[in-house]
Amino acid sequence: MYIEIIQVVFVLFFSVVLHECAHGWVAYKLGDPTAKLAGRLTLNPIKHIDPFGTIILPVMLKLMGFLPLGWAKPVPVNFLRLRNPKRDMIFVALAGPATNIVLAVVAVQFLKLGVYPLLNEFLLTVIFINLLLAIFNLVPVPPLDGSRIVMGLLPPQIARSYAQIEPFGLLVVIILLNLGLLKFVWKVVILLAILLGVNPNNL
Amino acid sequence: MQQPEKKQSFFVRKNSFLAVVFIFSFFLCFHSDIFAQSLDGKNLSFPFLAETTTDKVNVRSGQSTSFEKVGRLQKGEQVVVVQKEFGWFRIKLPKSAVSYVSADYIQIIRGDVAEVTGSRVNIRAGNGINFSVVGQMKKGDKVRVLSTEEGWSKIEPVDQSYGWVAEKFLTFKSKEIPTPRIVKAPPPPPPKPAPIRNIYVLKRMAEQKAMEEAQRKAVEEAKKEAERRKNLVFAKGVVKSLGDRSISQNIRHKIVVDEKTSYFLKGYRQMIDGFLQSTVKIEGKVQKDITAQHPVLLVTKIHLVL
Repeated sequence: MYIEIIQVVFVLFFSVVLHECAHGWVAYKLGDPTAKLAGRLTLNPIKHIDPFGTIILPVMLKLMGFLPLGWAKPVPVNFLRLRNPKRDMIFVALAGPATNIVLAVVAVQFLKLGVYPLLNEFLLTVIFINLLLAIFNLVPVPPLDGSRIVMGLLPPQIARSYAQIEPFGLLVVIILLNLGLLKFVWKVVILLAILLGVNPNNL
Repeated sequence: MQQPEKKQSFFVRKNSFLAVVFIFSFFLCFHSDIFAQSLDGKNLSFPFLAETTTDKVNVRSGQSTSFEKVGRLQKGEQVVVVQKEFGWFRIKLPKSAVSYVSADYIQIIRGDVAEVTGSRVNIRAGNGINFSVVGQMKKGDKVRVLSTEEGWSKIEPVDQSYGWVAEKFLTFKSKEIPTPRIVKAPPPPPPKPAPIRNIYVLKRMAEQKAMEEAQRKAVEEAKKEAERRKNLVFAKGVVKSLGDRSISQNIRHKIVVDEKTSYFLKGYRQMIDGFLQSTVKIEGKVQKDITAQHPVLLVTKIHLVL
């Protein structure tokens, strides 16, 4: 039981750090050194911990019997410093979920090789957590990556007003979670797992 | 993006509305209504009893043809459907299906019934950790073991193991589902009743038994007697009083066997007094007494020699 929780927390954190780094790295390659200058292009997890969002809130929610929701310190990206802000924003946003998808796919390959059956459980955790992170972040509500992609694709007028939801974004996400967003996200995760050939019933 | 201030704010307000509509339409599109449970246009609640519509219907470990087959249903076979996902029905595994558990986590109780000893034990589609999980059992659950090989036990599918069947092969039968299968250990075998024989044979057997018993007792008795005798000392001599050289309250006499051997006598004073200066035969237990110069005899028998 405890081993499972530790495993999930470890995989979750590792995946989130990679996700955030990917945003910063792509932003850096596309002309915005903000994350680099802030010293956030590192895999050192301590640099990515947000005391409230990463530790206090999830632990409190868990203790109160709610779904442990949290976030890592977001990597700062100044979209205006990108060479082509509107287009590059899409790539920066995509980098995070793409990293998670890649991690999941790599884990699937390891699982299918079946070299270390003892690692099966761990690999399944890696697969499902990364798929979950990828899909959840692709939800098009402003603080999440999905909204940046949508913004990049929408005409500038609509995109600008769309961005104005951002201050209430987290609230919108929480309301949507209560309306069954997580169930929907999980369903997509299961569908993806099936497409990747991983039996979701194994979890 | 040079636009008059007024016009922009109008657009912004209008587009905010559009943005919200966009987000919610996203969720309306993908809301679980798309995955609504329906069969033949009817809304269904789970679980329900379904029937196969064709022969050779595969039951699989997951909701796609890429997962292992765990069983096959014939036309008209009835199964309990508990869920639907992506066009596949989740059913309780029929008895004909194949499922395995690691032999490390179960223990045979009696006959072919085993008890689960691990806290959460996976039931798998095959005899290895790489096979899909089809269910899970709790500690103390009972399961019928069909065979065990290389650390994996093939079991009769239990109620908490599930397979998937493509939606098109099943049709609604009824809402009445059969009661859950519960595996119970067979009762302990009754003690074997004595076979009834001819009364004379029985009599003779009883006699023989009694004889054997008597013999055994006699042997035991003899053994006991021998043991008792081993500790006994027999002495013949003259009983003398120790006078004021008595060793203790209970040792006030000695018996002189010959010039070299004598024993102090421990026993009932008045009794031994009656034998003073006479020749007697004594039976007694030797007691080690370091303080005395002769061994001490605890007198158990004494009689006069005339």
